[in-house]
Amino acid sequence: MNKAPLLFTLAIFVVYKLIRIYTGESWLPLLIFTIPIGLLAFNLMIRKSLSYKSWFLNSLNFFLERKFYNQKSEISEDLLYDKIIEVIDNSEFQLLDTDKESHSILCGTVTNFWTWGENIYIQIEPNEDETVSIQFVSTTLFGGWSWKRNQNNYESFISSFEDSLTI
Amino acid sequence: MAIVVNLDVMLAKRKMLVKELSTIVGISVVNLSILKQSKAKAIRFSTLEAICAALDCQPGDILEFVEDPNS
Repeated sequence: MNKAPLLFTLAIFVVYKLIRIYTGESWLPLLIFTIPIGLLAFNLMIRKSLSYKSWFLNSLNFFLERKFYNQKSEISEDLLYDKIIEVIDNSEFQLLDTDKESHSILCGTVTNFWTWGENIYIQIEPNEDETVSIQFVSTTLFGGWSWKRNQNNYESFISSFEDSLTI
Repeated sequence: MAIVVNLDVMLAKRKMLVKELSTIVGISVVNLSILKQSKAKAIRFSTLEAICAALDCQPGDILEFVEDPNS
């Protein structure tokens, strides 16, 4: 399942070759593939900033798959913010950007041979019942199907967070 | 909350700051603050031992059982 990016690249190459053979033109397939490749390059360029959160989380951005999760906590907002940053620093995730004022955190998984990586947006917000909610969103950087990596990211994060509460 | 952590009481008695305790026991301020607010899920014996040594107290001075009125 983790071989998706490789298979996708191979599929693009095969389709490119087929279009080229049938049409006899080289500019047409190149033009078609400029859009997704350009989009991927753009996403990779802007992935490390919280400023582009709305781009990655916008439902109209159908090139990406997003998974939303919510978790409640009784720890205060500020303390939870520091705690989550500590958890990320000690986990497989990479801390990319933070905003203490809005209690927003951006982290991600690394790009490797099988995946472009995922961006993870964490938002801490107070509830009316004196608890705090953690909104966790994992999004792909390219591709409408994450091959369960979004779900695995959430499970891995929650597991690290729960473990860290044993002091 | 059945088990109450009285770390803040002991810190006040010893006139010590959380930051100072953090340096002595090697546990982050964030984790000590979570422990102080009784929001931790569990406490390791090694942590308890280090805190007791730093504050020169017994585990019973830090942890207290309080009957939950709701249960």
